[in-house]
Amino acid sequence: MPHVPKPPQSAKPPTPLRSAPAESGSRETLPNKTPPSDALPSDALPSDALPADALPSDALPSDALPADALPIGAMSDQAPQLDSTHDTMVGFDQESVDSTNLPDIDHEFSMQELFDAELREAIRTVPLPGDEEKLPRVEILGADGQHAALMRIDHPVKLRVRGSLGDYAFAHNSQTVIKVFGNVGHGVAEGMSSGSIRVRGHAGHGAGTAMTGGTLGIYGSAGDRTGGAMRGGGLFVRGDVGNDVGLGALAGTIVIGGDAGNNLGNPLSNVAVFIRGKAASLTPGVTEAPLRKKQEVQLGLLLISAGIRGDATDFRRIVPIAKLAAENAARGEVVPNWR
Amino acid sequence: MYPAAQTISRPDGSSTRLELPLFWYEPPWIQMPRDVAGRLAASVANLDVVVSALRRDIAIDEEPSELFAAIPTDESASTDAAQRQFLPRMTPYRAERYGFTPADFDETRIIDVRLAATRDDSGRFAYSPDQMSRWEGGADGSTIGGGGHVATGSFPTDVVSLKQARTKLDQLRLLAPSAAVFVSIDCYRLEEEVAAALVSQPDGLIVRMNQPEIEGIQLAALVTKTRRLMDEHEFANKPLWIVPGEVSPRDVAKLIALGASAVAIDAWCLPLVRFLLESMPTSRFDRTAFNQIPAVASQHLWDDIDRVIGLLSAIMPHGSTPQRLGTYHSRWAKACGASLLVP
Repeated sequence: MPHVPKPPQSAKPPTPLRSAPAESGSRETLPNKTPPSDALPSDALPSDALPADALPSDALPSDALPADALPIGAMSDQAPQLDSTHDTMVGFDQESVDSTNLPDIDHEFSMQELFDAELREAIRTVPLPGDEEKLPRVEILGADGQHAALMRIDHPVKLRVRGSLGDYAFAHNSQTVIKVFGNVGHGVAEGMSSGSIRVRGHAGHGAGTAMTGGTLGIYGSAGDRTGGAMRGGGLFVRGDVGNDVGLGALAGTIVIGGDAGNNLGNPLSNVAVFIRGKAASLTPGVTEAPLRKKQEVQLGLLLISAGIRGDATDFRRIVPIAKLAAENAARGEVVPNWR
Repeated sequence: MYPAAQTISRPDGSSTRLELPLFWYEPPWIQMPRDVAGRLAASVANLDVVVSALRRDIAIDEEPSELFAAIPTDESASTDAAQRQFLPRMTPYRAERYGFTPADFDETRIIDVRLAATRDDSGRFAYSPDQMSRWEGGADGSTIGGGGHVATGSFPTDVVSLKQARTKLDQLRLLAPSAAVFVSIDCYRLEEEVAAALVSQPDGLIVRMNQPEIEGIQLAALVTKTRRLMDEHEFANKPLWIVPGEVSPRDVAKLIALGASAVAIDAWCLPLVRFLLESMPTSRFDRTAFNQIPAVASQHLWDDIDRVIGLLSAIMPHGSTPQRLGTYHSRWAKACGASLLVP
């Protein structure tokens, strides 16, 4: 029987993280744009975890993981080690301290032992406790680059996926709270409508395509067309993103912690795009603008929610020129410039 | 049993059965109120014509249309979920997925992955504000994205290449376990488009040949050529669905004899839409015309459908084109490979 219900005080700990958070007073030691390779668990970036086409070499922006981005000797023993307050780790793990403590795993399923439909059905039938605040925890083992995994789950549980997944993971999910300790391929969280998905590694192209709600957090970098055709929800990328981010998106929020490629933004949409780094180019019809105070507060709350460390004032917003002009016109009524 | 019933196989061994080789590819749902659209869709599907619609095209989320509901059975029959029957429906899977909900996967017979941008009635490669409001507007009718035209996507944002699209089609097969997954393309640059589309290993191919500049002889030649290209790419046994412009029942039978597996009858349904729009009373309390939609649809369409069934019953099932078709015109014989008859 592959389904192994576990008591709350299960003796089986998850695979411990190699670089667990610890107290430290220092800040980041690497540039923001560089996803630290040693911030990921040992199983997060397996060279053979994904099929050849799951995360192709062009899936990430060319500067997402530059070999020469790390300081000389950064990977050596003498290199400054990442401190535990690095937002990639703190953000990912702050909600649950299961990387250092024994998690209270309620159920455990293996992707190697169950067919996809069986796995989905097993998750859907996980009983819910009476306390709505405490979602049942489900550990998913055996993730090894499978495509189209864990789709269309509409059940309020917490999933932890150990390993990397292929393309179209978690498509059309709702309510489920998911953490992935690995990479994902193209089209992660397509059509997601609620819940949250946090990916500790990188994502391929089209992350968050057509999502209508919920939160997708990628703590590595993401490829081209991230947030394409979004109609709602929040998408956070801690690292860099590729070209055409927000292509065809209508609404929602996209937060980019690193740099962006070409054609950032959409002049005909209502998407709130915030970026901390630089964009190679903006789509014609959009421009950069500083955040207003209200947006700083909103973004600050979003950053806290996503566990992304940083000050909202570090970000600029990418906004349609027409929308900015309309904002300024409306603002003139409140703050007349003749004063 | 209809002579033209077909069974479409999926790679996982399951199959989808369709009773008629007819489908309504691009209904103008936005021209009608939701309730009228939903009733019309169900009425046409009830004639065993596969109808293309998203759930939000023809109903609100809370009250799905008859097209999406199980066919009512008498109480004495078994109510086992596996035994429930649904009307034949195909789901357009556009590049941007505006208006798409996960419920659109349920019980659909065909997933139509549209790999080419389409024009709206105004000629734009865009969706109208009304269309966007129906798909993505809130319950209060509010707009999303500013309320203007929204450009159509030219390619799915989460598909990297046509080779990688195979993974996308596999994903759709998992999400819609009862459906065959088709890819639809335009007929321009046919050789390149067919070769590219078949790389993704769809369960069938839909080719849009409804451009007004395409004449009958060109249509016949395009169908013949498409089937030949599919044969060359070892897709001889896969269905080829054609979206033509104006066609008669005889044309439908000829297209099937030339190698098409199903033919769109949008040209037959549009007059029906116009008739309904003209005959619908302005009063929302007068439901007479609404209740008569099934009868009106049957009256408009059944004679033509029955003629197609009759003509197809006379076509040699496994014959070659020269065995099936003959012509007195050398141009036609050359264009589509029919036998040249001597008058």
